[in-house]
Amino acid sequence: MIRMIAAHELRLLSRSPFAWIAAGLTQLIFSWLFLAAIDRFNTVQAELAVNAPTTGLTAYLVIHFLAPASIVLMLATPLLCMSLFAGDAPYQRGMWASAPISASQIVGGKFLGALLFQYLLLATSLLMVCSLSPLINLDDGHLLTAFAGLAAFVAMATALSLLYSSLTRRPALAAFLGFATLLLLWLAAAGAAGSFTAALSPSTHLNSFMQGLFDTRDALYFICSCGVLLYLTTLRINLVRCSAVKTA
Amino acid sequence: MCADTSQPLLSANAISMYFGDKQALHNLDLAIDAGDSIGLLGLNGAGKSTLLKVLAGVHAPQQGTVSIAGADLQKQAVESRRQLGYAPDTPPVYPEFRVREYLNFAGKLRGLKGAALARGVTRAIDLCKLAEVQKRVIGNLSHGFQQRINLAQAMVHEPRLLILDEPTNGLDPVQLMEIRDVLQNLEAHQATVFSSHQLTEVQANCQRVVLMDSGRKILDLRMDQLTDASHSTFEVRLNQAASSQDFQNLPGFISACSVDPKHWLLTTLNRGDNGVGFGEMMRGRGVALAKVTPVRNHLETLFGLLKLKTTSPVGEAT
Repeated sequence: MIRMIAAHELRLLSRSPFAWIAAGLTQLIFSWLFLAAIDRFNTVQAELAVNAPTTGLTAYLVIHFLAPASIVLMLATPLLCMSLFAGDAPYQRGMWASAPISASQIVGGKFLGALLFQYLLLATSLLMVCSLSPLINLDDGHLLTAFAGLAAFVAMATALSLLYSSLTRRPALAAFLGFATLLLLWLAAAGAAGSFTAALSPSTHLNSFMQGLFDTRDALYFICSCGVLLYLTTLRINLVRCSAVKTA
Repeated sequence: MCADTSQPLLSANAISMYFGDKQALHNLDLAIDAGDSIGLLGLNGAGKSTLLKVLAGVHAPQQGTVSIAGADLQKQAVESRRQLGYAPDTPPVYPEFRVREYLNFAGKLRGLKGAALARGVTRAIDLCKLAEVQKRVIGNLSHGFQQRINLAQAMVHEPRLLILDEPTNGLDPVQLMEIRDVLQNLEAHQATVFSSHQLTEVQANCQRVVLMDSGRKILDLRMDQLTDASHSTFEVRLNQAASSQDFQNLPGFISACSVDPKHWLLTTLNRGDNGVGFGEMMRGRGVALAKVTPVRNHLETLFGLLKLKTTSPVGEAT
């Protein structure tokens, strides 16, 4: 059932002009970031060889392409996910609520559908990087770890956006709240290293991935935050089903 | 699937529902048996759609319980919902989907797979006469077709209970007849409950009529009690408040429903008089009668009386 709902959401997103505009803009920015990173690397290559000989193209791409791409995704994810629940018309809400499916199936399906759509965007950025591999030796391990971190961050951002989408009937409000929360969490990393706020920030945990380090604590952070956010969304959907809650 | 005949298909007990401080449903009871077809009548704001949403599991009542085939709609959310199909008052809003594609999705959502899904979709398309548009995009179809798609998605999994919120809303006379055909061709074991403003639709399609006003059920009668020549119905105005018990001992008494405690509709065995004899008989039994009028078209009269608006808790059909 989750797979069926995910396929349905994917189909809806693939037919939504807004989703295509958001996806197109994201791709445009990704492409610009990628080309700018390559161009800048060509300029500073000689200088790097002297000052930071360990910084190859892979590390350079991670810093100047994938790290900024995570900021773009922080904005794009709430926009792509804002309508998952909030955008449901009364008819659709009625159909979901009267169907013999559990709240966790609905939440799981919608989460998976939205995530797959964004992973397609991520896959194109992976293709951009892979297009260099016939010409130059890239550090595959480092790149894959960085992409895994990005994928984990997108999953967390999607779960958070899904929660906000279930809390309101106004997609724009859901997008704003999602982005604002992600930004606050991101900025929390500015606290002292090892502090509680820094530990809460996805940026702290994403950094390890970006450095090519796979730390199970960072992976657990993303898995647990996804789990908690999806659980809260399921509770919310159950609450709507089990009481006449009217959302803003 | 075996139907359990020992209990009602749907049982709603003491349902109350609030939106903020406004009470939308007042302590409402309803039982629906397999094969029943019930028409829900009432003016705008009477609580019909709210009641249907509660019965379909879209809203949960703050008080009371709803169970379908013995499964509680809240506690056994998945099992209970397998038995029902719900068509809201707004036609489908996946305008970008094709008809068959949308019905496939509706079927899968109700747990159909493989051959059962294909059979269910084909059956719904046939029943609702959608074959000619099954490959067309929903958004390009007329309102009448969209209403039929709405109906088809509710019946694609052959539910035992169909809940239809104003299925004939905005349809022209030909489309009305087509929807009537669909409802009359349902399986004998399927029960339907639908709301409508159209008295003729309720008279044509229903065995039972439930009349609502201000979130209260003020009448629940079998249609044959309304139309049977063996019954007489009188609109009775009293000088003092009465309860339904006050009429129980009248000769030939069948039912009483109140518009307010001094204003009643009484149904008795046919007396063959124009109300004069009935009035005299009531006065003879000590009822403080102000006026008695025989009712010719019971349903229309009832609907008209709703305009008088009740202000106090009203009685029940007995």
